[in-house]
Amino acid sequence: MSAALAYRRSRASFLDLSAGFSTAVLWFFATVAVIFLLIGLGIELASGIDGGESIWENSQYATRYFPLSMGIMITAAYLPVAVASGVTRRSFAWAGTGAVLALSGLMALFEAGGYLIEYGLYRVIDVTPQFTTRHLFDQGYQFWIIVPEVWIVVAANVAAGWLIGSAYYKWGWFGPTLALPLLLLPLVAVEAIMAVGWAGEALDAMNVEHLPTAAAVPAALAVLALTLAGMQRFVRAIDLRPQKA
Amino acid sequence: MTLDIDIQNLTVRYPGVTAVDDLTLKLEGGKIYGLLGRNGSGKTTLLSLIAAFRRVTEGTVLVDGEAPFENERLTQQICLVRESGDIVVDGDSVKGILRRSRRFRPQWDDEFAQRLLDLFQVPLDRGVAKLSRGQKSALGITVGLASRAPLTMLDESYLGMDAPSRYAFYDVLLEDYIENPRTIILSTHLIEEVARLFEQVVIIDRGRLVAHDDTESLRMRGAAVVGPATAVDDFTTGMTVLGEQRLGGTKSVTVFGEIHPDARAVATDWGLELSPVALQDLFVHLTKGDPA
Repeated sequence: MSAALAYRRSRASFLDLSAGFSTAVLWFFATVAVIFLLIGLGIELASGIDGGESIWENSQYATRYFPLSMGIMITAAYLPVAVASGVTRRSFAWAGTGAVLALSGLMALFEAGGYLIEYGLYRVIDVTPQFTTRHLFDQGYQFWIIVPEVWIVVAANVAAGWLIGSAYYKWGWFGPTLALPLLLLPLVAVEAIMAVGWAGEALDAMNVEHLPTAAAVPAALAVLALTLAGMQRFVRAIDLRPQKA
Repeated sequence: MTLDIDIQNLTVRYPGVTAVDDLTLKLEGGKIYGLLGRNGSGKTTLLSLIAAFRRVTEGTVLVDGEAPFENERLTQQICLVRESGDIVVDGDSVKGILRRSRRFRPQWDDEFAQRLLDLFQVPLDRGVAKLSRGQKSALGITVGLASRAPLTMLDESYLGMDAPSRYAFYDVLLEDYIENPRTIILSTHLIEEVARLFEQVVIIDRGRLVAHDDTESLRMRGAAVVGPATAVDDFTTGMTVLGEQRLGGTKSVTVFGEIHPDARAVATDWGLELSPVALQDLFVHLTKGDPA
């Protein structure tokens, strides 16, 4: 089998996944943007944002867990379609990896854009946004740091969703539910290594030292790469389930 | 282009049941096969293995001389449409399904797909969830046929269609097969309706191969004997009777077993008419046993 054929099939499968996710992602972006704009306006009207606390920072959880839910659907919804359309699991797994990276990349750009806009708006009233949880960046305009931070953390969430969804598809609900802590391990590892957002807070509360950024980023990338490599092998071993009548 | 299939000692076990039991079967490329079997006889499992929906764990399945599982060259040339379709993601529209098929199927024929949708009256802009059962079946058929996959397998995929649509499907399948020869396997319960399409018939029961032959040869394994009731009774004495009907003094008895040319000559002398047995009668006889 030629590499060119495998590339074409993976690409087609990636485009199919992207087309399937695009509407939901666009709705998500619109909803989050509107909600946070309204929250911002509400706070400004009620008490003002003189304290400078970042409102957009709270969106980091939505941009983690919505993509995680999309990750859960990758195998359950799209593997049967891909295999029934003549795509091998290998090509599908590459497409899934592409979807994980693309979805998290979009979320990273969205987050960075939000921080930039918030920074600009705050600066108009001569306030600098302050962050309540730990980040690798300390200013909202530092998109060159925001993008990799969010990208890595969200990619770990989507990959975890993919792993969880694949396990449920392959083994049904009972075993994977019992093994859920194990399935979440790669995600927890990346969150702990990166120590941003809730994970940073939790580690602080437990008086655990954070890894220096220069070590944390490569280590988190290594865990992410291992997770995705593991998914490549795992997806290749999944049989399509019998259909519901 | 057509693909042949070579299955050797294939066994598939599910918890508590053996779905396919040491099955050996060779299917030449470029023919229309009828795959017949009762519910739970292993038809869908067999087709799923050929289409690489599942891994083969015991025995071998070769398509065009190679194992299809994780074989990109082969899988893109194999199209299996199961009863309610694997080609749909929740929220998909008919247009979206066509777009997907165009993307994945190298021999996809858009014009033919459109013609089939028109024929089966499937609206292009409607969401698949809003289609009737018959329309969903028709959509599956459309994808199966317009993919023009060298190995096309339709597993009960037209059961939901009404009779006029099914007959239109049989005609269009035959017409397209003549223009674009390929290997087609039709798994069905509507045996008599589809029998005219089959060049060869494979019957499996409880995962085992019961019969594999040309349709006509298979039908010649028995006979429908029609004539005066007394003569029919005398002629069929000692034969395996599959069924009988009587109208006045005329009787029709379906028997199983080869009828020797001498016996055929006797039948002619007695004024009896011998015709090949109906495939459905033969199927019922060969697979009778505990209800599935």
